[in-house]
Amino acid sequence: MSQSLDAYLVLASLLFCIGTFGFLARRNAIAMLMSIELMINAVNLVIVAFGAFTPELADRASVIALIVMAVAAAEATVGLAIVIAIYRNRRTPLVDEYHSMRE
Amino acid sequence: MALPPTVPYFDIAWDDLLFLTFGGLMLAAALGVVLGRNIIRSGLAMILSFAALAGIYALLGAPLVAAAQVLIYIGAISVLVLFAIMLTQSKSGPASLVFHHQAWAAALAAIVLALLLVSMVAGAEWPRAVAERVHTATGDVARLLFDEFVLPFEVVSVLLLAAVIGGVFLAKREDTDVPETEAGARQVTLGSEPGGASGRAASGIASATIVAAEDLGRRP
Amino acid sequence: MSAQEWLAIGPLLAVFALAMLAVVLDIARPGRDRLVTGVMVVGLLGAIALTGYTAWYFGGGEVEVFGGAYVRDALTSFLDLLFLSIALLTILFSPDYLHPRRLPMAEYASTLMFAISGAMLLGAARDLLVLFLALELLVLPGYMLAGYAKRDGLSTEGAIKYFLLGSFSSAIFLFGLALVWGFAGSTRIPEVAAVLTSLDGAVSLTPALTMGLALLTAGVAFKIAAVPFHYWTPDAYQGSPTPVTGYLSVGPKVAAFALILRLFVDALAPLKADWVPFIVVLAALTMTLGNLVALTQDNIKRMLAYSSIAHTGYILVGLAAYAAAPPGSDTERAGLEALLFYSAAYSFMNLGAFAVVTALQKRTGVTSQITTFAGLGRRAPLLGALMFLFLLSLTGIPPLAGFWAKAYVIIAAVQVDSPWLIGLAVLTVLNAAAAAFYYLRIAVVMYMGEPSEQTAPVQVGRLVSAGLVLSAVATILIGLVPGPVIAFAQEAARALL
Repeated sequence: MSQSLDAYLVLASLLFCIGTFGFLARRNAIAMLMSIELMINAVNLVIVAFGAFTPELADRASVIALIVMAVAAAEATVGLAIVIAIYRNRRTPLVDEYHSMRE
Repeated sequence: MALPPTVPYFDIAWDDLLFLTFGGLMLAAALGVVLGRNIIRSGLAMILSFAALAGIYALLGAPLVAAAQVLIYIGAISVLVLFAIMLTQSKSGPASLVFHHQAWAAALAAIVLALLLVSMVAGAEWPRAVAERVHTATGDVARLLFDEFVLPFEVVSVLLLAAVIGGVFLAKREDTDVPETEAGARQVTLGSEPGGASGRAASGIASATIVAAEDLGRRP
Repeated sequence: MSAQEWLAIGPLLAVFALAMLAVVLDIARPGRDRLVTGVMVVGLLGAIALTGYTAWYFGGGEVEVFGGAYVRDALTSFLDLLFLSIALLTILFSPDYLHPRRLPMAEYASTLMFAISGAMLLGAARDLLVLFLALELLVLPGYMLAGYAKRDGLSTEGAIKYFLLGSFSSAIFLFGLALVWGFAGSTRIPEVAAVLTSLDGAVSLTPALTMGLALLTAGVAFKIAAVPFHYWTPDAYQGSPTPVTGYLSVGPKVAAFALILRLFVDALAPLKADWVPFIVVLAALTMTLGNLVALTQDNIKRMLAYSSIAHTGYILVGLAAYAAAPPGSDTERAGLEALLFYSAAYSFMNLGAFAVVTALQKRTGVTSQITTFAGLGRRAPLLGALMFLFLLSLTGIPPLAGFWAKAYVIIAAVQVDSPWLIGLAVLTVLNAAAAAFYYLRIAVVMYMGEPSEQTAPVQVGRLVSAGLVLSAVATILIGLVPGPVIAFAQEAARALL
C-alpha cells in the first residue's frame, strides 16, 4: 500500500475534495482560506508522490514542493491582509454578508 | 532488538501501518477543519492535518519537504491564520452560521469530484513511474534549486516581496502616527534577506505577523 | 550569462527595478506622489524603448535564458510591449483618482509593477513551474490593487471575492499542472510537448491527461472570466478603484490569454483537437451571457465588467479557430493572429473608456451610475467625444480598432471549414449587434440626458489627458493602419507554431 503511487494519489485526491467542499460550503472567509490551504497541500502531496515513484523527478519534486509552499505563504499573507482590511469595514468575517453590490 | 518484518498479529508492513495512520489522521483532521463549528478548533485541526502530512512526506523519502512542511505550514502559515482568527472573531460569533444553506450542493459537488479523481487515478498509467520508491538526495535538491530552478527561485523572492509590500499596506491601520514609509522600509529589509525559499517565506510571514501583532496590541 | 541573455531579460528586470524603486523613493522622499508618478512614467517609457530595441535586435529569432525556462521571441516582445503600454496608461490615469482619496501612490505603483512583471513573465515562460509562479505574481498584486481603497467597503468586498475565487482557481490550476507534470515527467514545455507528440493519437487522452486538462481549463477559465467561471468579475470590477478596474479588465485578462498561448498552444498543442468543443461552447456562452447581462446594468463599471466578459468571448473565438484548424495550416495561425490583434485593440479602447470614468470621478463622491454621464457631451465636449470614440470602437464601428479586431476574429473563424466555427462566427456578429444597444445607450445619455443641477464642471488633469490622448490615438491608428500591428502579430504567432 505504502509502496504504490496510486495509494498516495487517492489520498491526495480525497484531501483535495475535502478542501473543495470546505471552500464551497463554509461562510467564513478564514475558513475558506484554510480550505484552500488544504487543497494546495493536496497538490503538494501529489507532487512529492510523483517524485517518490519517478526516478527523473525525484529531486525536482522536492524543489517544486518547496516553491509551492512559499507561494502558499505569500497567498496566505495577502488573503489575511484583505480579511483584516474588510473586517475593519464590516465587522464580520462571513462572506455572504458582503453583498452591498448585488442588484 | 530488531523489529519483526511485519506488524505482529496484523500481517501488514510497518510502512503500511504508518501510511494508514498518517493518512487517516490527515483526512480526519481535514474533515475537522471543514466541518468544525468552532473556527479556532478548525485552525488547530488544520495544524494536525499538516503535521500528519509531514509524516507522509517523511514516509515518501522526502525529509527536506517534511521539515519545510513543519517550518512553513505549522510554524508560519498556521500561526498567521490563528492570528487572523483572533483579530476577526467577535465574541458573539454566530457558531450556528457556519455553512451556506446550499452546503448539500457543495457536498454533492465534492463527492462527484472525488469519484472522478479516484476513478482517474485507478485508470491512469504514468509512463514515467516505476514500482520501486526512489529516495531524495537532499544535496541534489540544493544544487537543483540554484541551477535548473534558479528562475523560479528568484521569482518566488519577488512574489514574497510583492505580497509583503501590499499586505502591510492593506493590514496597516489608518489612524496610526507611523508614517507610510516606515512600514515600507521594514518590508524591504525583511523581503530581501538572503536565505532559501523557506527562509524567504518565513520572512514574509514574519512581517505580516508583526503587523497583525501590532494591531492586536492596539485594539481597544 | 552572456550579454545577449541579459538583453533578453532586460525589460523584465527593468519592471522589477521600477517596482522596488517606487518603494525606495517613498522611503527617501516620503509622500512625494508626483515624484513617484514621474519616475514611473519615465521608467516605463524607457522600458518600452528597451523592449522595442530588443525586439529589433533579436528580429524573428529566439533567445533562451535560464536553461530554457525563459524565452524571448516575437511573441514575448509583442506581449511585453502591450503589458508595458497597459502599465503606462494605468499609471497615467491613477493619480487623479488616488490623490483626492488620500491613497498613497508609492505602494500602488510598486504593486502594479509587480503585477505587470508577472504578466510579462507569463508571456515568456517555457516552464510549467515558472508559468504557475508568473500567474501568482500577476494575480496576487491584483487582489491587493482591488482592495487598495481599504477604507471603502466596496473595494475590500470586491477584493475578498476576487481573492477567494482567484486562489481557489489557482489551486485547481496547480492540481492540473501537477498531473500533466507527473505524466510528462518534465516541467520544460518543449519536453512536455515532445512527450505528448510521441503518444499515438488513439491513446492521446488517457484518464489522467483528461483530468489534468479539465482542471487546467477550469483554472484558466476563471482567470479570463469566461462564463460560467465569471462569478467574481462584476463585484471585483465594480468594487475596485476605477483605474484599477480599468487595469483588471485588460491586464490580467490579456495575461491569462498569454498563459493560454504558452500552455495550451505551446505545450498541449498535440491535444488541441480534443478541446475544440469546450472552447466553442465556452466562447458562445461567454459572449452571449456577457452581452445579455450588460444590457440590464445601470452602473457603468458593472456594465463595462460584463462587456469585458463579452470581449473575452470574442477573443476565445480566435482560440477556437486555432484549435479547430488542421495542424500546420495557415488557418491555424490566423486564429492566433486574431487573438493577439484583438487583445491589443481591446486593451487600448477599454482602458480609454475606463479613463473617462476615472476622469469624472476625480471629485470624490461621484458615483459610477450611468446618470453620471448625463449631459457630458455638453458639459465637457472633448471628454464626451473621446468616450463616444471608445464606445464606437468597443461596438466595432469601422474604421476604429474594434472593428478590425472583430473582423479578424470572424474571418479566422469562417476560414476554418467547420460548422461549429461558422456557427460561432454568426453568433459573434449577432452579439456585436446586441452590444451596440448598451454601448450606444451611454452615448444617448451623454448627449440627450439632462445633467442634474449640482454637477460641477469637469476638470481633467494633465496626466489623464495625456493618457486619454494616447489611448484615443492608438484606437484610431490601429483602426486606420492596422498593417504594422497585424505584421507584428503574425510574427508573434509564427514564433509559437
